[in-house]
Amino acid sequence: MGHRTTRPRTASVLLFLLMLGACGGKPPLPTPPLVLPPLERPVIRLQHSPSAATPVLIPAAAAVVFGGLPGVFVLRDGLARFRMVKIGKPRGDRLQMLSGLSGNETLILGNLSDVHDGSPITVLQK
Amino acid sequence: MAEPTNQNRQGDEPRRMNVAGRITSYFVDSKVTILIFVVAVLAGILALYVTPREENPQIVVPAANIIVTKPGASPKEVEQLIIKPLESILHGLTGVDRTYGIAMDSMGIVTVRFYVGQNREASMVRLYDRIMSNLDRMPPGTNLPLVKPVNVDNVPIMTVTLSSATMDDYHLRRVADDVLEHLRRVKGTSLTYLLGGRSRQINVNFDLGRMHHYNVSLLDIRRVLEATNVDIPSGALVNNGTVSTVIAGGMLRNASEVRNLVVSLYAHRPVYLKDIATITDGPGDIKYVHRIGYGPSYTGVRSPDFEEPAVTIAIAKRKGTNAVTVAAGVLAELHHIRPLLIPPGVHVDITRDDGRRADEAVNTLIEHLTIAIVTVVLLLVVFLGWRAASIVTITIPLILFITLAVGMAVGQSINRITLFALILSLGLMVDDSIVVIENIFRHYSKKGADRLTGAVSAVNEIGRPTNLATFTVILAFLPMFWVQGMMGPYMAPIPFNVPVAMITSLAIAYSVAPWAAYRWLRLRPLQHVEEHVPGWLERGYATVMGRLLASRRLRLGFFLGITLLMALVLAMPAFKLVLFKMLPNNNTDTFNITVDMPAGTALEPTDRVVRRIGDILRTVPDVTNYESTVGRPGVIDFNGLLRGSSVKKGPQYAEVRVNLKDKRARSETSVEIVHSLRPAISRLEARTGANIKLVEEPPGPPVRATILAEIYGPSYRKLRQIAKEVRYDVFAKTKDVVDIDDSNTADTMQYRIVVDHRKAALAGILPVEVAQTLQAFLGGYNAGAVHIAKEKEPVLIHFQIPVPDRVLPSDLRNIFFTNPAGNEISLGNIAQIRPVQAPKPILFQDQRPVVYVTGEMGTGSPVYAVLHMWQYLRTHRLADGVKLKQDFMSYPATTSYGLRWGGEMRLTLDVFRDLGGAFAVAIILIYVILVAYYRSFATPLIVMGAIPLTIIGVFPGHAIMDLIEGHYYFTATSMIGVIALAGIVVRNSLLLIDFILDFRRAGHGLREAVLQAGITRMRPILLTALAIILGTAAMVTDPVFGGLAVSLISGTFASTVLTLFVIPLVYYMYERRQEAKTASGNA
Repeated sequence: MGHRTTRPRTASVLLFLLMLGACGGKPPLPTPPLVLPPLERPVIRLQHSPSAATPVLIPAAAAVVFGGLPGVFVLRDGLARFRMVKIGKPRGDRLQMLSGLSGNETLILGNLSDVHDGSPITVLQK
Repeated sequence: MAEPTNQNRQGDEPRRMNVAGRITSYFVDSKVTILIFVVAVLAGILALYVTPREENPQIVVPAANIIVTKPGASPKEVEQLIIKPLESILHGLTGVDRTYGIAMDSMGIVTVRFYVGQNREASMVRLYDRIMSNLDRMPPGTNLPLVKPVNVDNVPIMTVTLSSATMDDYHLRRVADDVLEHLRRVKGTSLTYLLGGRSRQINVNFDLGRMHHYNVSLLDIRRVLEATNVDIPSGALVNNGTVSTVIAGGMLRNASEVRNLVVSLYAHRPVYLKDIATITDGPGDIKYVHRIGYGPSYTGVRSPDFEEPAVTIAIAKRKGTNAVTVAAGVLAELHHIRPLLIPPGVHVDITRDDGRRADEAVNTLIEHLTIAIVTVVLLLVVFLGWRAASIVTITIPLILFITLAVGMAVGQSINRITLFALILSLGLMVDDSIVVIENIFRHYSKKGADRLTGAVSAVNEIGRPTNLATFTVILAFLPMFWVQGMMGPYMAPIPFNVPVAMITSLAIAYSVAPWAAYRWLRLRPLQHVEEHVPGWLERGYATVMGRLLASRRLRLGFFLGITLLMALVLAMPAFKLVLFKMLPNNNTDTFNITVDMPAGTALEPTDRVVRRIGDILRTVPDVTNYESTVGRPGVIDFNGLLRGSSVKKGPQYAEVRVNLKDKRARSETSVEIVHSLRPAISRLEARTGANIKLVEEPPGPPVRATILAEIYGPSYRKLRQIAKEVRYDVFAKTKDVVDIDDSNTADTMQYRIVVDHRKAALAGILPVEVAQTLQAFLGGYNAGAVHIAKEKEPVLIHFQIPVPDRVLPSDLRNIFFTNPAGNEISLGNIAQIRPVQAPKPILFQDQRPVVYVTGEMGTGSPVYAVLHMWQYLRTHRLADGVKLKQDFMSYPATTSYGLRWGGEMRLTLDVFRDLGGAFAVAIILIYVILVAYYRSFATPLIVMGAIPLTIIGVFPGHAIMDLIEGHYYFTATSMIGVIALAGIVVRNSLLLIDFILDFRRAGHGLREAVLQAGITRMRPILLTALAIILGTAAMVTDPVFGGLAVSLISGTFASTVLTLFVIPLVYYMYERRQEAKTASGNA
């Protein structure tokens, strides 16, 4: 007799356990952040007076297109950081910045193709 | 139960059987019972797998935006001519709850919100009908109104983000386009779209200098292009018995055809478009930016860059389909097509999966439910012995299965609230079976009892009080159906599922339980003894109760003590020992950050702030990834839909959606994470001037803002001033109020081009040409699309002046027009360019001009922050001497300046008002049914005396949790617990009184009857109480429904202990007085 009463209970508990099992699985461990190699690049420090009516000018070599966005790499805390900008008319080898830079940033120059947003930069003294 | 009662009842048993007895006599030895069993299990399993799963019940709030444009009209004009008449037309529509208006430059938007639960289709039909029938009242110069329904079903349940460090946004979008084409074939999907990346278009960049040279104006080119780019089916030729259709026209099929378009003649030679413009085939201007960044908890392949450009595929599901299966289908399809369509360098991240979320939420609760069942079963084994316990145990899944099946049949979904309702009713649903089994057991323990008739008469005997007790519980829950507003449908599964479970448990207790008991219930001598010899509990109770009954002084002291306790407990909220809140914050896996830069900010500075937010987010250990969208809102969610975030389009807006790692793998809740982010975010705000809000997903219905001050008054300029004062002098100075904002926009510059009518007329230029040219010049102009058969999105021909050529207002002067005589007229000659302040939008709510001041809570409950501000405004005047009249529920008078508190505060007030009302109705209903049962007006009052006793447990229970956890609130779910308690405790005292009456009918003296009934009923009452306490204990840890559990546990505990003494004593005193009265009357 006894086993007859226990069976439905066991079954129901089993059923619930099965449903629990369906959602289980251990979450994967986080991937450690990539360690990017430090790059040695020349930089230029913009010295644009904020009160000036003229727009900020940057060397044309500092401009990059990253993922379709026009921008520059700004040096901040030893890292190259992408900054989106709006580029106006070229003036010789310089570009007029319409928006995105305030004029006191340090821009990274040189070969920018392997510079990533977040690459450590050591300043190459000219 | 004592013998005399049975004789009393058994005397007329064979002839007059009640419903319970009749049901039992049919099922107790019937094969149908086995069928019930089988059908219930099958239906239940079907329901578990088929019923759509959701995290929270869907709230249907039909709403629509009606957009009316009137080019050139100022906000003031739009207010008078469009918003006011439109709002009044719509306000009269049946079912409309609220109307919100906003009058902007050249455009007005009225948002109509219908009452919660109104039929969406019917509401929309009524709305269209209303607008169409009033079209004749539109002022001249307005365009046709555009009705955009706000549809909950269009909120994507799934987002798949494609990103790449090497591919640009334009190519990424093309990949996403291909992927989307496959994903939207998955069954059950409805609206799908892409966010991010630029589409392909034919960019026509004009060179103004060359246009001058060839004397071609923008309007000329536009005219030529529009006349060229057409194909018209012209008819058919019939020859030789076949029909050949003829199509005439010169549709443009690619960029080179656009390049070679002849737009004019110059010196008898054609001028091609390529002569005056650079034409490229590719992405257009950047209007918004969408990208993904990865946090420390990201588990996929890392990108070398901190953030990557991304395109997100958003997929909504069809109404009524199961998010779990739709999401699984999408994932399977994605997995299948990934190697074929997605190039190796592209990352794929599932950034939203509501199907999985719903499934996890439901599974977690099923887990809780299982734990609850196991604990209750263990309790039963201890109290009843394993044989009786296993009979009760098999009824539990049956009741749950049938309840779920009923839910499926009426079209409910399985969500968190449904399952909470089931956990909540667990303790109660075993009770009916326990009562039945216990009584059958007692019958069987009598010598010579026939098993079959014994079972039937045992059920028959307890039928009436059990029915009554079950119906009181049902009555306690039913009025919750009438809770208004968004909280109504949110909580509706409780008043639906609990009564269904109760009725089912009653039916099962009368059919399956006696059937099983008849077969398997065996007596053992030991058990027999155990059941009937009073244990130490009973002996202790008898001693205390005996003394209380004997001594009047002791009794008085006891009641004084209870009264004092009650008074102390009721004073707890006043001393802030118990804090109130609408709903506590939920621990979720995602939250949003919205950025509002001052009006007039370009995309790049906004982007810079958003990247800084990314820098902050990447330091949070629990962040897996975050999606930033700059220039427009991200993929909408339910909260954003009702907060109206979709209108925030423009370079100064941005939104970041942050995904955290699974909450079960986290040590911190999302609330704590958001809280820890605030200092860094406010430093960023101070540095950049941005307004950054951390938007957590609300546990219940969304509100525009947690704290919302609606300020009304006659002059809008003054309202703006008042709002500023309320914002900086009141909100900013209140503790814990964060993310403060108001609906005023910053002052921005606008250039107004004033055409000199005389000069223009003399030059032969119409002002409309000026406006159209300028629009094309600045905003770009889409002159149709090229016809490329294979493209999935239309490839527009976009006219524009290159960005570097349109920087300063002086650049506008270079624009020229050609008059009919063929002369070039420059803009400077016929118009003046004047810098003016841009007009600001005017907001309306229910036809009243309004300015909003909003805030969120850092920690704590908005109730106290609002009360603090309310108190301040009540006693202080604002800086400019205005005294605001404050309201919570109704609109202030429009003749003076008034403030209405909205947001979560009003939701809280509404909900507690409705729940309080439901509670009152429940109590009245219980009273009515008890009067009918006892045929007395006084006895039901004694029975219901147990209800206030619950508060003695509930408030201290919350206070203790507050001490343990910190910030534990008495919430709407706690209040639901209190209502549930009313039904539960009445059940206990009802059976107690019933036994006293039985004992007295059997001839016992009053004191003896009271004492004996208490002793007899003590065990079953404690069993029920313990079942409820253990059953709901699994819920305590839930951030939202913990309050319900705390209410139930502490309330049941206090009330059970006290009921055992208070109810019999009150009855005793009442009866003594009655007897004394009769005696003196007789004398």
